[in-house]
Amino acid sequence: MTSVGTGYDISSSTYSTEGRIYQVEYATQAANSFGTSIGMKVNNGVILGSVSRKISKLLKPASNKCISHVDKHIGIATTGWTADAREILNIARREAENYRSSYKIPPPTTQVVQRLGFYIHAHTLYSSVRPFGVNSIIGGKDDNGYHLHMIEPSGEHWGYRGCVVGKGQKEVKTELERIDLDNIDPTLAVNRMVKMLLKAHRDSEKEEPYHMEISWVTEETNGYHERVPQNIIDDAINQFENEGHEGEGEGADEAQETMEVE
Amino acid sequence: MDPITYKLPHTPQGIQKPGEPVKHISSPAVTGSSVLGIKYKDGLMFAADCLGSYGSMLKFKNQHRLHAIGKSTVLAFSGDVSDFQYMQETLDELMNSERNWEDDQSLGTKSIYSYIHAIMYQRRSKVDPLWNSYVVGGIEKGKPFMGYVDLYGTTYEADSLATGFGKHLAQPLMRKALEDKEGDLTEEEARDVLLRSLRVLFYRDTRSLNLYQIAKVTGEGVTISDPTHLDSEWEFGRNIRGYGF
Repeated sequence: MTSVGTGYDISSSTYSTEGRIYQVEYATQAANSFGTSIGMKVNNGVILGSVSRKISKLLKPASNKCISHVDKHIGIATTGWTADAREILNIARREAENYRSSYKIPPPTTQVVQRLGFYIHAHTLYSSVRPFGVNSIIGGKDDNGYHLHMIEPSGEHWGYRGCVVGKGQKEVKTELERIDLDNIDPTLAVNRMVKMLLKAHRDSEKEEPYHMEISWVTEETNGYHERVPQNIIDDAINQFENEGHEGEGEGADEAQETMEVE
Repeated sequence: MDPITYKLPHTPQGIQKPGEPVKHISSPAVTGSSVLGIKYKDGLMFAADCLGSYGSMLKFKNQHRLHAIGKSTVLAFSGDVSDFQYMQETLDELMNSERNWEDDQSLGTKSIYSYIHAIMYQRRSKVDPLWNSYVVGGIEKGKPFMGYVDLYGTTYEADSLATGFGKHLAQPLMRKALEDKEGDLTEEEARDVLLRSLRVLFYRDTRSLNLYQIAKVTGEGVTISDPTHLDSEWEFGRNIRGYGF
């Protein structure tokens, strides 16, 4: 990096001479070096998915979740430093709860995203704090329909129809763009998502055991954020393995075995 | 004080002055009357009319007073409506934060009952009680449970429970029904005794209404009926003489 040694990469409260904030860029790099997360806003639903390398065989199943409830009808998928993600999750839940107690209605997704974005952005303004090394994908339902947003470590947030972050970003993005997101049904979209996540995992981590989570908000879940039933995910995994991916063989069984989604 | 302003009975008189003892609102505004609950063969059944009274005025005639908390608990209230709404929001927040754990557990009826009692007792100890009587009931681990809590933090459990006027007018009817069948009522019998009790309450309690709801908790979960009309008989009034007639 050109600025190494110039001192501009120490604090996020100072721009470099080219107008960049290196601490925020480093945080983005950190956030993108973990697993892969995908968000899809489809016909009558929004789906969140995440895959990451399983850190250890000794890990208790379902520990270190990367998808969580924010409120009844809002979910969040995070990639990056898990401890940072916990903080972001707590803030998201707090904001949702505060909205509820003030206005006595379920918080609109965009409100939670804006407040969370503000909080994350505030951590890019001071030399005394470190920006969050986390990308958050937030999906939910409210009176205006389904919503999908992504917040970056800079605090920047956009609404999406389909979004992806992490290691497999490039490949998944091209594939997402090819899907007719507005018309695809949630169950079929889950199928596509599982395959994209698996491919992203195989491309970067080869046959390493993985940890995958998929959740959705649809008509079928009555607008609640819930985890996708395991059999739908398993079907997609089996299809993926049978379609003759280059990584089939010994590793495929092991990966299956170590799947740990509730 | 502005002499033109009419002070309603539940508004605190005057402004709190520094150094004075703390004053709280000490009477309810919009109130619900009796609620009833009884255990039967398949679970529990609750009944309440749909009235929110403002003093002696029958102000809100579509006040739902039976509510589901979670998947297998019913909360029935009498007393102040806004205090109940506060309780409901508190419980909703609690159930929500419990759901966030995603540990395949949820608060059972006894835990919810205990939590409500804790709030009620804390508030009465602050001399600022929530002006309610609650009947909390449901099925936890296959067993029916039903308990009572009131604004003093008093609690008791029984196979039939009533609040307010219902303690005097409905409880004897429900106890008799349970005794006759040795505590093993069918759904029909339970519904029958609740409706009879509601009818007696409608005849004798001036803060009651002939529109009611019935809630059921069984192994299947909670069902709460739509507001239903309660039939009653007033023809006998024609033969009554005296009392100004």
